[in-house]
Amino acid sequence: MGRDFQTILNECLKELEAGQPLDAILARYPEEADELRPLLLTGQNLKAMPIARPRSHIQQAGWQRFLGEANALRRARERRPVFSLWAQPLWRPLAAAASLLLVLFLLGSSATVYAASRSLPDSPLYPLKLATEEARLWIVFDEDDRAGILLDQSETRMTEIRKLVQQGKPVEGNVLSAMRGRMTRATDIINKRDAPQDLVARANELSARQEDILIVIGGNVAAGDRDEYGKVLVVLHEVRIELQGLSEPAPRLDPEALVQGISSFTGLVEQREDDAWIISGTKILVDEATIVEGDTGEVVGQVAQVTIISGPGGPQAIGISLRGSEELARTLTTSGVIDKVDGSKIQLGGRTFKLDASTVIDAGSFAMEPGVHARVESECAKEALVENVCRGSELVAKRIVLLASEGPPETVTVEGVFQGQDDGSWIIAGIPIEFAPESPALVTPPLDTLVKVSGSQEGQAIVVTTAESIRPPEELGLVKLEGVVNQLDDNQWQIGPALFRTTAATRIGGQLIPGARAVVWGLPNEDGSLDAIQVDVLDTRSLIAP
Amino acid sequence: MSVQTLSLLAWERSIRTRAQERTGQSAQVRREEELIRRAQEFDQEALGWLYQLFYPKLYNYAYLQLGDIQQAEDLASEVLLRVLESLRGYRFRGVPLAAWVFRIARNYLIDLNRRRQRRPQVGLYEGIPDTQDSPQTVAERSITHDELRLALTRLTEEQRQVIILKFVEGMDNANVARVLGRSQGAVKSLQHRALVSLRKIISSQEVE
Repeated sequence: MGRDFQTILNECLKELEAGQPLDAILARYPEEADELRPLLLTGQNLKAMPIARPRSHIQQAGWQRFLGEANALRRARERRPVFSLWAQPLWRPLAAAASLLLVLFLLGSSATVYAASRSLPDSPLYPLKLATEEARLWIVFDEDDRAGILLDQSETRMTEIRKLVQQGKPVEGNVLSAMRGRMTRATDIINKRDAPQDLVARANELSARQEDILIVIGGNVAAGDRDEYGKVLVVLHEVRIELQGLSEPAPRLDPEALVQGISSFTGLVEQREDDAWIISGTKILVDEATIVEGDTGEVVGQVAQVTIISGPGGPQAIGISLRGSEELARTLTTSGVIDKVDGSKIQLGGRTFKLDASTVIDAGSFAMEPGVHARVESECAKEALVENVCRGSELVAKRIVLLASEGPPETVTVEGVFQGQDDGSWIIAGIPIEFAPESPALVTPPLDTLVKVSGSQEGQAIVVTTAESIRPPEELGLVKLEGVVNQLDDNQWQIGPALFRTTAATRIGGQLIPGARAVVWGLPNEDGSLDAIQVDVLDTRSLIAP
Repeated sequence: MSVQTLSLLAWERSIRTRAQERTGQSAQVRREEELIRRAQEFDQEALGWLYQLFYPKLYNYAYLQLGDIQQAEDLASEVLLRVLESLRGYRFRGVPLAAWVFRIARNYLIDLNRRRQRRPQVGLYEGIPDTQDSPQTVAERSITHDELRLALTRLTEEQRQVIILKFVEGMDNANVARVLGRSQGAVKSLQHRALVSLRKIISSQEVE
């Protein structure tokens, strides 16, 4: 009976609400009528129940408070105008004429400039590329335009870093310092004047994306350039704090603490205090440098992904991303060997994943190329989503992690939230997953559980070898850790400031050694440590010291 | 593998009803979108619409769960202030504002309950005695506000939300799912279990 009866009950309730007589509705379901009748009557009675009304004078007093708060918020958002020399009409034609002469001069060596424009930071032409970009700014007189171009250039630095990582090359200090310089100048302009909201939003979004990407590619930074790496992370973080008006001046972060190791901790928010949040039983310190994103209306009960560093008083959050269950339910994780890399697309596990500017490539020590093991976190493109089921052939890659090579090359694993079935396929994270006919019969898992199915690839289908389901983190209190692993003793390990223990029941994928980067799922103990349920080693050759 | 099947007749009826409702709904959605946009710019008339619309709903929602007039009034006020603070971040994508507002209200209530450290909720079917009375007899008579309030305290938190949001606040499954952060399938399942539990609890209250 189960789900079928639930569907019938739902349909009957809809019909009842639409005004159809109860007996007429029940007559259509003679087998279920006895069970349906009391439930429908209960539903009908609930609908007919009078509602509680608030006291009007209290409601009126609340309105005055609401209105006062609205006026205060409006005043706070009004920003003062700033005088700009370049905005004055007299200067514009003179400056434009001088700049035009300069452009003509620069175009004289156009062939070299063109070659330089395509260079990467490891090329001898790269300094010329940066100089040409600098010259372009001389002919821009509008401060907003100048800030916009600096943001473009900062984004170009990010593209260069992604290309270096994809090619397995180290990220050097020159590109990091150029990125830092451009972002700093852009935000200086924005902060000094009444910049348009779209420019502020873009700078904020860009700095957030750059910080996210830089955190995960830390292992690719050249050993001698780690100081610059720490500095650029600090600048990006401070820019976000300033632009969001969270604290003025922005609190200083210690670049050394960032270089020493950043890890990720995901769990359920249980309590919020002024200086700390309790997340799945672990106390995480927060201060003015902590950026909280997501639905901050009420945080208790939400799943939080926390970026943490080791602070003097314990784990210190620099970023907290509150992720609703809906967002988690949209993510499909596919692990396997990359079959093909074609421009902005990769093929893996019989599927094509499209990369865009927001795709984070976490390459560790590897190049993104066919034959490399990878884990792709993806979601359905919005335009391909029809009634919550993905009908497109391509998925959008949100994050690609290149893994330490291990296991048979034909093995593929998909993970995500089980949402039902469609024509024999399982809907996982909105995406139909087909199983080959020779797969063993599977027990249908409960809706909304996390499922992990492994097997061999056969076209788009999987010949299933194992299928597991675990309860969602918000129900079971599961915690996810990600970062560089340090070993304390035989079974005691550490990621950043968080401790975890491996037991005989822990499933370990890959070679768990000190210095490896890993994802750990576990259950919190009363002493604040975790009992690891599953450990997936991402890369055993991380450059970040544990 | 069990595949969800729908009655063809019910499906056809549902399509017809949806088509009739669509025209009226789209005008309403456009109006709501415009009012939200104006409220985001602190237009007083639009803010007034927002307040008048949601204050009584939030009060009723809170009163059913807290059983205290003053606390329910405080919750309605506090939640609307939070809505005001976060309103600029709300993006209208055809999702009714109500789902967003009630999500904030639910989170507020969860936090409040944690602070008050109330006794643990009664499990799904735990502690609900069966009654010898005919379920139909019990179900056919009307439920009073106090009976419902008492019965709701014995449901799980999610079951309680489904009953209040769907049957008292009049939301559809899609919006209840948005408030709870669950799938519509999960809401359907919760709805079934909640109605079964509620009927049993009210029956047992009748016996007592």
